[in-house]
Amino acid sequence: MNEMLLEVKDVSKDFGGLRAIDHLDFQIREGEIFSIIGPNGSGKTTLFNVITGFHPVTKGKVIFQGEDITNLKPFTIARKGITRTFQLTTVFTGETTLDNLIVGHRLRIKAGLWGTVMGSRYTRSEEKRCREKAEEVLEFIGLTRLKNVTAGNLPQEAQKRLSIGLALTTDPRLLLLDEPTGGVNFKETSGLISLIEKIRDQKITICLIEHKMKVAMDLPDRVLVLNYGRKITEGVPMDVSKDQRVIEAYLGKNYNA
Amino acid sequence: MAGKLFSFKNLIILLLLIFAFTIPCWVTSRFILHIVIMCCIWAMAATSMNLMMGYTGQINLAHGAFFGIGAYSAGLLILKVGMNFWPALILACIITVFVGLIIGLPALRTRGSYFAIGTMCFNVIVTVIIDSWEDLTEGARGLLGIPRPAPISLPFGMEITFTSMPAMYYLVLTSLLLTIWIIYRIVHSMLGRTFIAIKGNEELSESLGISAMRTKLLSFLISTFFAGWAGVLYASYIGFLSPEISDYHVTFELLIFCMIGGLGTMVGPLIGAIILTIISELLHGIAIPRMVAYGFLLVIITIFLPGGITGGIKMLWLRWNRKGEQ
Repeated sequence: MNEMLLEVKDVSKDFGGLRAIDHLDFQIREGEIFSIIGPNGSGKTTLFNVITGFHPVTKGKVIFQGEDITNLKPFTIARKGITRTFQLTTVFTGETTLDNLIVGHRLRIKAGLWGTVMGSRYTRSEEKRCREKAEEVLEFIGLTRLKNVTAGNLPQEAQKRLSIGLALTTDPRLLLLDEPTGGVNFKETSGLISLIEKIRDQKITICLIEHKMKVAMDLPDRVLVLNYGRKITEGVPMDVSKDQRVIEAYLGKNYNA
Repeated sequence: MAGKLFSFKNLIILLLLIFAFTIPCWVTSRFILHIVIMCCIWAMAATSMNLMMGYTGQINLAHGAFFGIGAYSAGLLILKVGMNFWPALILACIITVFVGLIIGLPALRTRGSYFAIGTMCFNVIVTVIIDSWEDLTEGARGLLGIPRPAPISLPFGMEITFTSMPAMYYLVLTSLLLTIWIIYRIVHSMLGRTFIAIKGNEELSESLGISAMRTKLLSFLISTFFAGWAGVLYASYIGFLSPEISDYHVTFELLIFCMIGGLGTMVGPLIGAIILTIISELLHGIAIPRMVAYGFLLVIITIFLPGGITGGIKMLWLRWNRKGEQ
């Protein structure tokens, strides 16, 4: 439980003259649900982009399972076991739910050109494996009924589930969820919360960005609060919510809790 | 599986195959056979372009250049090096893929319309080089007298010769079927799903562990391979090459074949290539500038029939089916 899965060491990220992340240090432990909160523009999504290699780091190091993954390409990082979802729900809108999930397992197989053209037994067994994985995840995220629907026509909540499912088909160790319950109603939110809890029970570590307090405070084991790219505080949700600096960041200086 | 083997779709494919293989038996006109051969060659080039454009979603506007490079490499290897047709065919395809690699590596770093512009510039460059490197390519005079494929000797003193039109037709048809078969295999596999994923969303694909660069490059190289192959067949069939064969007009013709037939479908480029080749060969005598006509056609298609002919048929089919349900 206490083993460090991901360590972010003194990471800074500049966009031109703007410092989006400023000397950030934190760790994510194996098996926990870790939440990152902060006002708009505090660098949460940038942090995800830095961890998953979409943006190069200006300074500092990202270490995953004891291995330096700073500035590796996104697909290499995904193969090492970190997968993310996007803030604007992103799925392959033109494909069916099932087809979406099948390609998600692509990174764990070879699918060589020669084997594909010749139809070798190995390549066919690989395809079968991807299909099995997709069916398994389909049931896990509860979309079996919608498996032949084009993903672009799914309702928002189902698309959220599918985008999480896509990340799950890659067999991740660490799952980064960028606002998993953004844009869905109250009832659907609890459905997604139980899905996230179910994922945790599969021994997958979760790090999530959230604005909804119910998700950001009730669900996680530990919370990191960012403001202007700096860490304000980090700790158990109960303590964090009482922290004067956090209240200041969200509500301003003159607010007395 | 046994039930699937005799499905409606397979029956149609079988009938079409029988039709295609028996064409020389009942078509005696050399002109019609010529049109059919040209249809096959263009269909091959269009099918390979479709892999990159329809399935991987990258608008490669240098396809005509690769067609021309394949044609010219084969022509030069046969005429200037004195090679036999068959090794020249293989070597020309390898040369085309190699040039594709050199172009693909820098060009694929760009995305969307920038990739289209970059490849189109490359296409123009290739034509200019072929046109002005007179020592090698004979420039605007063109390469004359490229022979038909050398005969293949079989055991027991038999021989397959390619001097007659039907024999040439069978060679071209076999190549086309091989192209379709291989691309069909690729598209309906995990590899094809990877290509389609890149078309769907590059960023999402990368986050799922798919290297966009490697995938796009592979698709690009496969498509240049078949473009080169089609070019070799063209060179050997027509027997004469001029720099125009690598022109960007060729690229746009192929593009229009794909768009009219339906991008991202297996039959689309075939339908487009066959219909438009027939029309353009029949209209040779009429003095409408072909590219102008194509331009109008393209505008009409993109406005009224964005999925091409295949897309239109699919839409009608769905509408008809829905009516049946109500």
